[in-house]
Amino acid sequence: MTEMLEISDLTVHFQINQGAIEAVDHINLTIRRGEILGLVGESGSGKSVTSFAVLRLIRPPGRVVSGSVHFDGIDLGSLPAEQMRRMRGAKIAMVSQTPRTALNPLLTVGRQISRLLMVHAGLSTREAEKRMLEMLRLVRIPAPEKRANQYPHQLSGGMCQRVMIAMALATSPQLLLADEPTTGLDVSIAAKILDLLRELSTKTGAAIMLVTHDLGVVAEICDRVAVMHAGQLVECAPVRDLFHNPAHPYTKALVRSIPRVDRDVVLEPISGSVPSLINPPSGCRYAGRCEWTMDRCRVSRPPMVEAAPGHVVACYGFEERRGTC
Amino acid sequence: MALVEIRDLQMHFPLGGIGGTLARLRGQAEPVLRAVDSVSFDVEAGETLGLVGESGCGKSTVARCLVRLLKPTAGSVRYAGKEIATLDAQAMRPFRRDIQMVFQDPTASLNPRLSVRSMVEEALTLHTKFDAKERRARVEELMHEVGLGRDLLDSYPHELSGGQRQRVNIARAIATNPRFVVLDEPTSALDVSLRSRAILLLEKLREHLGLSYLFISHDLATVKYLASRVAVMYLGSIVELSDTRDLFAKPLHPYTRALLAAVPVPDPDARRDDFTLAGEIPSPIDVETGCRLRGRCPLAKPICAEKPPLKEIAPGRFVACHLVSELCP
Repeated sequence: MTEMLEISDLTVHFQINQGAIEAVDHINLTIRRGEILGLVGESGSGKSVTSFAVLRLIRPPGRVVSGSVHFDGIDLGSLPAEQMRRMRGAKIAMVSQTPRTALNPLLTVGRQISRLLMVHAGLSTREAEKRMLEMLRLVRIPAPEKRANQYPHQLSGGMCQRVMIAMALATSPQLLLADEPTTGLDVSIAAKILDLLRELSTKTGAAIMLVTHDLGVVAEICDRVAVMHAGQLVECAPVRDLFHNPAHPYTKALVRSIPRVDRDVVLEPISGSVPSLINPPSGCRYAGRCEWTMDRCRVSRPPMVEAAPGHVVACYGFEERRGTC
Repeated sequence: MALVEIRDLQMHFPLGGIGGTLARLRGQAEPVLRAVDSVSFDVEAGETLGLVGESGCGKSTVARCLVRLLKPTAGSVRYAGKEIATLDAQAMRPFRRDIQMVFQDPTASLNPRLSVRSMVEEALTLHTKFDAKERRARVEELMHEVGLGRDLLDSYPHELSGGQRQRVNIARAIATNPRFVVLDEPTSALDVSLRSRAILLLEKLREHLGLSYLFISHDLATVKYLASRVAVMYLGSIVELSDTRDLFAKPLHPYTRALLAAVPVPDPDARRDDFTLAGEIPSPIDVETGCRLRGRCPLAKPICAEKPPLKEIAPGRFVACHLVSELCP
């Protein structure tokens, strides 16, 4: 089996006073060894919740209602808490969106990385120290010996992000969940971080799930892309297919809504907004914003069908048009 | 005459602390952070000038000097022919209604204890002679202008979404019918779909109200969409200033070229320019003499030890690089 991560039928709800927020709704996803999967969509589409669910970090009022997550053949949901804890950081690592708050402000960055190595890889203090410096060099932190002795507040945002990545990669994880790893960084630093992620997956065969809303980043380094809208997966395709032949109207709208440096475009914002996830519309959740909406879109949820080899889409409108174009 | 003319603008921040005290005692010059060094440009009436560069290059400091939230250490800022760089707060007041600013963080720039109505109305109370009824009518007109429903007038910032908050900021900025608006990363905090709507709104307002913008951003794609001309800043200085189309078609300064090459393009088959700079942006405290990019530039030559002037190499195209004749034969 080459699947590193297999998410089947995952549903996550958050129970609040007004009802249940259906944040992730019956998602199926797989990532192969050495593959980079991009997970895209607007804010509130459930991208981050999906990655938290993989790590089993959904806390009340959140609840995994159904589904399973298999990592390298192991059902993560059935692992005892202690084994799951060892999995995190060692085999599955995460790079979060806010590096400064994810780092411990009271420890020097070097200490944070070497501690992790002592806990998860069982290294001695000296070995951990040595490996920590190697990692800082790997993520191209200038003057690593000096930086290792500094605290997060003494580093720039881009540097904190690289420290987070060094930390995530320190134990050579087999799966990396990167949640908007380049958002808010300057382009030159962002480009370096993307190169680093690409290198990691080719060199160590790690699978990467890259959560982002930047389609440029997706085109740059992803092999496959999954598009989420309002907690549902609407399309999943190899990266070229997705950009050249997007099948779902939401994917098409997403591509048309961004200004770009490489060509002149007419901006078309996506109409409407993400529907409320408390008692969301039954059927397709994009129906309220879609130009292809038919009666049955509002009644039942379109199933995933294959548009091309390896390219799946959930849209009745696409099925209708398939013969004609 | 351009609407806004900036000449040799300089903003240095004294570092203070023990280093400053020691330098003073020794009779030496106090160490300073050179945030902005001899920056000159014009903003013509009705145009959008984009100002781009990475964090710490001094773009926001330029903006703050223009709207006089900071008093520049040297240089001149002329608005409609009048010098405003040296005015005190009192003398600056009449200019405030003409020169407005929208800040990056839509939440932090709103007062959490005031309703939308009172925030937008405040600008009118301070700067116009409208009576209560006229103010009320104007506030409603502004809400319509920025695409917000009248039902939101009595809401507080926490009840609004990020996109709605930024619209309130824009409504407040255009309330006094300004002629010049400085937009400091107005779309950075917004989600993809909201960002494109905010971009279209800004463009509509500029055309509709005859505004001029200084649009500051590190998002080059948005700058390309909105700006007619672009100035690129590096370490406190402008390295290239050009028509937007020419700049994106063929960046000339090595810094501009590296910056554009690093932007991820939403096309998996795009050919990449692999031009990159070595190392990191140096500290603006001990700035190198000569070309500030010298230490990182793969093309650097001995002549780069001299400071390159911002030279006009084609009509409207300015580049500060000694090697520009080689880059553009």
